[in-house]
Amino acid sequence: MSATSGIRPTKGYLMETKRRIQTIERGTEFLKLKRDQLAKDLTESLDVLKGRRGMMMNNLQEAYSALTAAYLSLGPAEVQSQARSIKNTLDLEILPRSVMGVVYPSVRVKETPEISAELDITLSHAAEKVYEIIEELIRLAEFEERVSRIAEELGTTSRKVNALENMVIPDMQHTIKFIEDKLDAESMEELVRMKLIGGTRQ
Amino acid sequence: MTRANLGTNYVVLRTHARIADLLNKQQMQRLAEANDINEFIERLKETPYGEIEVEHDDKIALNLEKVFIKKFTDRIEEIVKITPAKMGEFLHAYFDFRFEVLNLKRILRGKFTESSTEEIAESLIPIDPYIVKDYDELINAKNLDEVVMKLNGTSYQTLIDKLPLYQEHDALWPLELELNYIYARNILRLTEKLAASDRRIVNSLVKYETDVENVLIAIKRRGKEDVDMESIFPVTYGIDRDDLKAFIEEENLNKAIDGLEEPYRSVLEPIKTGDIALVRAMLRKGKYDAATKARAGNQFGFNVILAFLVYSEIEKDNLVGLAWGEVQGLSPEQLLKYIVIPWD
Repeated sequence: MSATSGIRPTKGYLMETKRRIQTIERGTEFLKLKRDQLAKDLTESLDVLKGRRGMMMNNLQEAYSALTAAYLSLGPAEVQSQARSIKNTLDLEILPRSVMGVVYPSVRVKETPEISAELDITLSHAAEKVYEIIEELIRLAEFEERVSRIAEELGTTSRKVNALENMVIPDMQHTIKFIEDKLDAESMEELVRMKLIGGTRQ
Repeated sequence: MTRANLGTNYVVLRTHARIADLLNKQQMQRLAEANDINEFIERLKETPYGEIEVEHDDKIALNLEKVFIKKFTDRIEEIVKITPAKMGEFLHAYFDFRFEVLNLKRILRGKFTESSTEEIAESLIPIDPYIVKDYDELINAKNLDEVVMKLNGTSYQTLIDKLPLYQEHDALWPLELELNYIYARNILRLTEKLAASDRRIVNSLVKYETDVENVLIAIKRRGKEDVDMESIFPVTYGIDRDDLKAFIEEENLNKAIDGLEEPYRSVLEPIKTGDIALVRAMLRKGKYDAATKARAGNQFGFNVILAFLVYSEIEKDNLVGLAWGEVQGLSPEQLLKYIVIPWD
């Protein structure tokens, strides 16, 4: 089936189509701006993410070493028993946030674990290291999710722009041309018919 | 020769024989170099530990820890049974009392966080009660307050006085510190019953350990104001409260460490590089060296018995650490860093 099948070649439809193509072209421009902004944001975010991940890996390595040292010097049973004396657990609240129409989860730390027992110094040292990175880890997870959603949105926006630029707008332009040609042909026919009628009368 | 001396000589002879059962440096290194926990258990078969039957589940490190503790407590029992009364009483207290205090702390921690009775029971060191009548009675208490009240009439009854402080802070540290104090006080009392020469050896070990532990507690309180030195450090020996205060208040920790005398300075040296866990390994090494020095001084006295038990405890700690490390897949270098294997 051709792209022009089912099109009513009327002036009203032509005007309606021209109005629609203008809106679509303006929308495409906005989408291009959004795409460029998202691409810029993504590139910057990826650099930040790479740096943050590197730092996080170092901090995690440090925390893991401290925890390993605590286990080796106290034994697993004592570490687990002392860890049991930490009363509160980590309590998080996840809320939606939106940037340029991209919705991503924002994490709020409501409650952090509280060390109230007489923890062994090796274990409290390890716990401090772990606590130091907990919030950092949460922020990193939040940032990673944001970056992932931006990348997803960038893909969707690019596909939309491509579809509009390469399919929808050319199709509509084709339709406009088709209607205009049809209307021109009709008006030519009409003119010829009028001339023929006029010539016969004379 | 008096009857007591004859008894001591017999125990010393038996102890010399038992020292030969301890793992040597090569055996310990071979265990550390095992590729995984199965190979570790296989290699353990070649040692006096022989075949160990243990469940290969996700708690294998904990199961092995129980096996090593059992082996250690059996060694204590074996020696204590044949040791003359006063020495035996002291050795019994030095080890079993310490384990009981550890078990009480574990019960209190479990009750504090409302853990199940099964969880609490599983966390305990498998030893017979020393002062308390029955661990199950404490585990099945309704809450922490009831556990403490059940200790009324025992050496632990001063814990009851600390209950208001626990309730005020909703924190376990007042009770755990009091338990440390009860242990230290009782050990000190029992030391007085020993002969002067034996007391010197014990003092060098007990005081050294208490002093280093006090410093570690002080470091944890760094930067805090209004620290009640009397209640936090009820017992001090070579490092007095003024020195400990310096660890809490001194801006530069290295300066406070340098201000101490040997052997404390060397033991605490790893703190300067931030490797606090290494202090505990150094502490064990210090105890090992002190026991070895005392043993070298007299091959036929109480010091040989004490040295054997100190070596046994270090061996138990080493094997517990190695087993956990093997389960985690740590490299031999990582494992050996915190393991004390100085004997040949």
